[in-house]
Amino acid sequence: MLKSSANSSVEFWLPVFIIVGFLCVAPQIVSAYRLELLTIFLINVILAQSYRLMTTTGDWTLCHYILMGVGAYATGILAKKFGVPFYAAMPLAGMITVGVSLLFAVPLSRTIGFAFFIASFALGEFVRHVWLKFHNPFGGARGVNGIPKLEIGQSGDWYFVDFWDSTNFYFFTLIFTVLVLVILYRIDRSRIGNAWKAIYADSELCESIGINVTRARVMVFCVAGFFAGIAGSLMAYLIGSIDPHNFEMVEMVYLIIWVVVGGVKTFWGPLIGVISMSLVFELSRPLEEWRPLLFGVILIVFLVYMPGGLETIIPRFKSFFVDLFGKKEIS
Amino acid sequence: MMELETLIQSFANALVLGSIYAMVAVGLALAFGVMQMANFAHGELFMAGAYVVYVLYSLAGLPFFIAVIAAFPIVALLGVLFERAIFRPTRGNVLAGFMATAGASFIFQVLVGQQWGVGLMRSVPVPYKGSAEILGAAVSWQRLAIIPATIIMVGGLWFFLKKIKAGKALRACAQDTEAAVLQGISINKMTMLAMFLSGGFAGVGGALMAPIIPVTPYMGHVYAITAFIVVIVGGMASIAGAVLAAFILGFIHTFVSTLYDSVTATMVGVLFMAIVLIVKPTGLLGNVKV
Amino acid sequence: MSFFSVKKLSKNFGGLQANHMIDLEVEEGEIRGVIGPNGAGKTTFFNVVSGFYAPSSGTVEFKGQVISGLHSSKIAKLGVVRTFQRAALFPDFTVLENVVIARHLNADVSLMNAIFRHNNKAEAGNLERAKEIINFLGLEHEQDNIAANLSHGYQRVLGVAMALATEPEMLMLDEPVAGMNSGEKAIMVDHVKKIRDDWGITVLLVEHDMKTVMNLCDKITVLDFGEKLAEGLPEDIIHNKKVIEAYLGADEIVA
Repeated sequence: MLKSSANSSVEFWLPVFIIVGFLCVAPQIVSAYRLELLTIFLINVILAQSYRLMTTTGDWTLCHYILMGVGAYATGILAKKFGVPFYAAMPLAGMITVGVSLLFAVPLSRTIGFAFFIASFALGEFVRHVWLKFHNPFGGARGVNGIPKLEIGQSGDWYFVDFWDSTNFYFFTLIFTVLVLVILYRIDRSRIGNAWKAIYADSELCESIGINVTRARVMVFCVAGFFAGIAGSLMAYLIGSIDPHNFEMVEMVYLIIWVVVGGVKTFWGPLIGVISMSLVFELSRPLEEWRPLLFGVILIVFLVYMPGGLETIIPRFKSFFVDLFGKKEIS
Repeated sequence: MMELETLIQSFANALVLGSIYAMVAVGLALAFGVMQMANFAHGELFMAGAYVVYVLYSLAGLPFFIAVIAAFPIVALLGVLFERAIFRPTRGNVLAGFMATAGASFIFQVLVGQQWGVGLMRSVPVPYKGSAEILGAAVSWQRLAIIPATIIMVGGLWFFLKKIKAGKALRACAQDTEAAVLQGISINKMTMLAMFLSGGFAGVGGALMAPIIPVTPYMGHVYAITAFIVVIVGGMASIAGAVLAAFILGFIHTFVSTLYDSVTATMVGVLFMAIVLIVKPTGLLGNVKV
Repeated sequence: MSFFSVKKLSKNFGGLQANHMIDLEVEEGEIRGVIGPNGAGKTTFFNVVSGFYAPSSGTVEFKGQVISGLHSSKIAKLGVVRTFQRAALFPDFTVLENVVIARHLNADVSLMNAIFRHNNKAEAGNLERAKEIINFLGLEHEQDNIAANLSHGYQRVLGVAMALATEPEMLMLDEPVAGMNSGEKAIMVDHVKKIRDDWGITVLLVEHDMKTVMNLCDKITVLDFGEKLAEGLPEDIIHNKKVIEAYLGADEIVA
C-alpha cells in the first residue's frame, strides 16, 4: 500500500500514458458522433472514480447520479439564466453539489450499511422531485434547455476556442478527466486516503486513535459529491440541456454496474468497468429493448461469481506477462 | 380548509393506500428481518401480481377474486426463485443481494415488456363497479375492497408468525440465527419461506391494484420505493413497524396529494423519513441499527 | 487538580446496574491496575472510563476537564488513549503503515495537503517517530510484515504501538496480556514498565492475570458487584480479607 513513490508513479502514469495517448489520436480516427460518445465516456469515468472514493470507507450510496444532476442543473442555470462563464460556473456547481451532499450527510451519517444505502436513494429521489415540481428555476418536467456553449474568448482573439467544434470540447473534457484522476489518485494514496481505508477495516480502532469517523465519512461524501458535480457540469455543457427523466434510478444502477464489474479495491477498477461496459453497451445496440436484460444478467453474474470485479484478475494477467517476458515484476 | 366530502374521501383513500403500502412493505420487512434479504425487485413482484390478474381475469376471463388468490402462490414461487438464484449465493452481503436484485428487476421488466407490450398500459376492467356513499363522499368499491383484503392477509400473517410452528421458526431465525440453527431450524427453509411469503404478499398487492392503476412493466417501481421508505421508517426488520409506517405514510401521501399534488406528497414522505432517521435512526418500532 | 479522576461513576444497562458509585483517582506517572472477579463490572468500567460508553451518572475527569460523554476521538485528542482486548489493527497494511496511520493526530490531514503534499517534512517526522515506537516495543523485525500475518502476541504489541503513536499522556490497556503465553506476558510487562519509566506515560489497566497485575502495578483497585471493594498497594490487596473472599473459590490469587 505505502509503496515507494517510484513504483506508484509507474503504476499510475503507465496506464494513464497509454490511455491518454490513445485518446489523443481518437479524434483523427472516429466520427463526430463517436467523439461525443467518447466525451460522455470520459464524463462517466470521472463519475465512476468519484464514486469509488466513497466506497473506500465502505459507504455505497444510491444518490450519486442525482448529485451529478445537481452539478448539471447548477451549471445550466448559472450559465443560462445568469450568464456566468464556465471558469466560475463549474467550480460553483461543484460547491453547490458539496452543499447538497452536506445536507444529505446529516440524516445519512446517522445510519450505516443498508439503511444508509436506502436512505441515500430516498434523498436522491427527493431532489429529483424538486426538479420535477419547481418550474422556476428547474424547468419542471421539461428541464433546462438552451444552455450556452462553453466560451473561451471571442473569434479573432488569439486564444479563441470554438466549442461548436466537438473536438475542442472533447479535449477540454479529456484535460479535466486527467486532472480529476490525478487529484483522486493523490487523495487515495495520501494519509487521508489511508485513513478512509482504515475506517473501513476497523472504525472502532480509528476512533480510539483520534480519527473522527463521522466527520471523515461526511468529508468523503462531500469530496465525492464535488467531483460528481463537476461531471454533471461537463455533461450540461456537452448536451446543452438537462432532462430530469435522465436521472432516474436506472442510470444509478448502470453506475453501480460499472463499479461492480470493474471493482473498487484498486484505483483503476472503475475505469476498467466503464471501459468494458461502454463497449458492451455499444456492441449490444442491435439488441434494442433486450439490452437492459443483458445488463441485468451481467450484474447478477458478477455479484454472484466475481464480486471483486474484473480488477481481481489483473494480478493474473500481470504474472502471465511476467512469465512470458521473464521480467522482474513491477508490483 | 377541506370540505367534509373531500375529507371523507381522502380519509378512505388514505386507508386504502395505507393498506396497499402495508401489503407490499410487510413482505419486505419479513425477508429483511429473517436473513437481511433486501429485494430491489420487490416492485417487480408487485407488478407480477398485477399481470397475473391481467392474464387470468382480463385475458382468460376467470373471476377476479380467483385471479387475485392465484397471484399469491404464483408470485410467491417467484420470490423463492429470487432466494435460490440470488439471495442464497450472496448471503451475508446485503448490498450484493440488493444490487443483484436490481439486475433481476431489469430482467423482469424486459421479459414482461416483450411478452405483453410496453407502450400502452394494459387496462384491467373493474370487477366491482360503483362506489359506496359515505356522508356524501363517493369511494369506489374496488378501492374499498382492498382494506378488508389487507386486514385478512396481515392478520393471517400475524397468526402464522405467532401460532404456527413454521411461523415461530421464522421469528426465531430473525431474532437469533445461530440459536435457531442450534434448535434444528434449517436456515435455507426459513429463507425460502420468507421469500415465499414476501412474494405472495407483494403479488396480492399488485393483483388488487390491477384494476385501479395502469398495468405496465414499470408499475412496481414507485411502490417498491415507497415500500423501502415504509420499512426504514417502521424499523428495518419490524413487521408491526411496517404496518404502522405504511398507514402513516399512506395518510401523509393522500392528504398532501389532495391539498397540493403527488410530487409534493412524495417529497413530504421522504422528508418525514429523514426526520425519523435523525430523531430515531432505528425506525419507529425498530431496535436494530442496520 | 488531580491527573485523572473518576467521581461517583455509575452505569446501568436497562435494569442491570453494572457500575455503582465508583470513585478512583490516578496520579500522574502511576501504573494503576483494576481487578475483580468475573462479573465485577471491570469491562464496563473500562469502557466508560475510556469513553466508549457515557456514564449513567458521575464523571470522568482528565487534568480537570470532564471527558465522560465525549466522543472517543475527542478523548484521544485530549491525550487519553485505549487499547483493545481483541487484535485491533488494519489487517491489509504493514506494521509500519499501521503505526503511521495512527499518527493521525499529529499529521496534516487537510485535503489540500493530500492533493499537493506540500507538508512533506511533517510526514517524514511521523515516519521517524513511528519507527522509533516500533523499535521501542521490539517490533522492528516485523516492521514490513502485513499486520494480519503477525502472531497474536505481536498483534497486541502493535495495538500498544498504535496507541503510543497518538502521543498520549495516559494509556488505558484492556486486558493487555489476555491470550498470551508466559513469555509474551513477560515482554508486555516490560513494555508497560518502559512506557511509564522512559516516556512518563500514566497507565490504567484492567486485567485478570494476578501475577501480571502484582508485578506491574503501583496501586490496585478491586471491583466487586459493580462497586469498589478495596484499593491499595499490591501487597496490601493480596492480603485483604474482603478481596480474598470475593475471589473465594477461584484459584486466581497467587498467595
